[in-house]
Amino acid sequence: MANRWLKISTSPTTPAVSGGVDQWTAEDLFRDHDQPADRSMDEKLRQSYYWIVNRAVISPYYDIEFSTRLPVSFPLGDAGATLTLPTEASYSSNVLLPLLTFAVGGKCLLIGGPGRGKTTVAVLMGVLAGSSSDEVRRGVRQGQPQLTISDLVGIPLPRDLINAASLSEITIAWKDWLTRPVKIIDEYNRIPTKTQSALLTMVAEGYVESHDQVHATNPDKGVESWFFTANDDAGGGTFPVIQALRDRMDVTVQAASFNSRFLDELITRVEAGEKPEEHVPGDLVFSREEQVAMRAQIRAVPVPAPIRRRLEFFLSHFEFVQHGGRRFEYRTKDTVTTAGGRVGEVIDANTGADLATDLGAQTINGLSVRALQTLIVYAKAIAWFRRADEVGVDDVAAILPFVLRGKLLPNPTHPRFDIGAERELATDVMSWLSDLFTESCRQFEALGRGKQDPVRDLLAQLDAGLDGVSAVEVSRRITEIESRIRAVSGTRKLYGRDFDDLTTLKYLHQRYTAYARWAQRS
Amino acid sequence: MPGHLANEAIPRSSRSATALDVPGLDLALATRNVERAHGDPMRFALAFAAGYHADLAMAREMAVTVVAVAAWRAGAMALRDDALARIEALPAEDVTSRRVVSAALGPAVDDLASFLEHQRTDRFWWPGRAANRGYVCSVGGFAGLGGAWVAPPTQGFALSEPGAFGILAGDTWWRLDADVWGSRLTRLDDAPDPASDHSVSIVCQPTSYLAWVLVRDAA
Repeated sequence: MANRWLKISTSPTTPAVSGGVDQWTAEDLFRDHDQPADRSMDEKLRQSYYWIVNRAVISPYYDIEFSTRLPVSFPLGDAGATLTLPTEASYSSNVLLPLLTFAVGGKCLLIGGPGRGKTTVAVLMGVLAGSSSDEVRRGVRQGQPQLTISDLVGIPLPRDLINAASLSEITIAWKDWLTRPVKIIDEYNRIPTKTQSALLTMVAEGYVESHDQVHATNPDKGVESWFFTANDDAGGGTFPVIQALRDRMDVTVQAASFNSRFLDELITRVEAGEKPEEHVPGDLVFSREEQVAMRAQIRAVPVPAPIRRRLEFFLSHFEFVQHGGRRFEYRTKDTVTTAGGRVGEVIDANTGADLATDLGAQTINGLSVRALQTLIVYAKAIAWFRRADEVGVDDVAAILPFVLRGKLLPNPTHPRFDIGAERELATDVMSWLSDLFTESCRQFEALGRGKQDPVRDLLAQLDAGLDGVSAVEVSRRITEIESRIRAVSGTRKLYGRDFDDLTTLKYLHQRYTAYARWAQRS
Repeated sequence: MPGHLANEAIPRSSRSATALDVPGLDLALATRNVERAHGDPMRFALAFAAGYHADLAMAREMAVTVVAVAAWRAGAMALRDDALARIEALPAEDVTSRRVVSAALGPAVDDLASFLEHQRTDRFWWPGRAANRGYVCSVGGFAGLGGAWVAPPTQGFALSEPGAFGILAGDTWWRLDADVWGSRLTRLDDAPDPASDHSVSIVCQPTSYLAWVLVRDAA
């Protein structure tokens, strides 16, 4: 009987749509095109994706949607539910995001109730990285309240503990899992805080320390990815997750529930007693060199200027808060938080801006540089996975909620979360984040930022260099900067997007006035 | 229904090229690849069989030439250049080979040289075109009846590449690649740039889901 696990998509999973007729010779008609001689890396990753969703994990969910035309949608029920049928290939987040994490060497947090396949997905990633299913299973670290650092990383040899004259003479029996390309920590919110700190060092710095001995977690400089699971993402669990470790999670993915219509498939597996990770086809396993090449290809996907401008605009909304401080530069949410204040109350105190327009008022924090870097890497990854030449707005929109979940936190006192159907967004963080980006893009268009961006133009002028710029020209630019600041001042309203522009204008003013002073002296 | 006028004279048949046993040629694989190249496997079978039966003692290299010609004749445009090059490479005095090619391709042996001469500059030429006022083929069709489009085409124009056209059906742009025997439609992400060539027109009518390819200079 044919092994049903071994079937891999034979036709290209994302056919090109550009058209044109490639010329063949008669000899090409006698070549088996079903066995491409040089399968590209992105095709291999797509085949892995389709193998997992079609064979390994029962996941008929397509929540990462792509459409090039207006998709057909159906209103359902009387509570505003809508089902859309996307026009392009769409994906299941609880498989795609772990797969992209494996490809970029990231850190993925899988959340959801018990028995939803979180650990299975993570184990599959380990097998794709070249380990056997037994090795991967053995390497899974199970979070539990008694887990010590020694349990996690290994123990010093008892012989050395007795004989050693100094710490440097102690040999540590490091655990094997530490150097595996895919590392899996199950139920990380059940790990004691002290052990979490040791875990943080591994995740953040790539090494582990015990008895003054240091051990690198990625000694051969390959691609290292981490998978964490948790039943809760709202601070529950035996121990609260330390914020620094939580912040290291590049993407957060909710495991999907089981679709009752697929019970027959489940019964088949129960009867066969099969585990999908034991049946991963060899063709889908990535060698170390392939993993390194795949990550390099992903990093090389360009982010075009229009996408950069949209991202820049989106990021500008969140750090500023009007009454956060006295000095202009200190009017930030970080100032309030680090002083022990409540950002929600400070936002409420601001009567000058329109809360419906001010996207920054919907969050209690800004975005870290780490979150932005992650967003860029994963947007590149999904564009590459979809075989795009460059990152598109739809790529950013698709990945953004998974990256910013748990990082961009909603302001529960914002009126938006207290009005009619919008109340749903208080619990559906993913939809809220997605909506936030959509609204930001709408404002970007409405303000004509894609066509006219004077602050960007001024930055470009400076980037062109000051060599040979005359004193008159410098003076003209300083006047223009001041006039831009005056224009914002004249509106008597201030938003996050203005805050970043104004600090940039001040930076430009500093650079030009410093240059003018230097030119005057010399 | 969409189709090429030059193909209408060919009878439909369930005959398969795989029924022929040609030593050294995997015709089953070739047939699959012709289909992959958007050719019609039945027409491929007919054209190959016609050519092969014209000289059952042909060498493997000549049989491969017949495969290329038959694939082009079956609508696999990817084989057009190779088929033309192989025919041109045949020795002028080799009457048997010309008879084989003629049988596979369609035109009579005496008309073969003229046909090839026209094809070098006009990929839509065939002897019956003038009598049909330049009509070459119709493409598209209603998706509900097995065609490509869910809305009638409203405009079309030539692109810069030979045999390529842009056609707007509903709110979607399509690229049409066509020659005398084959055509292929692929969806485009954006509107293509029209070329200045007006020798071949795309005719659209509001009452039809088909788009017609017409050559102005029908002769």
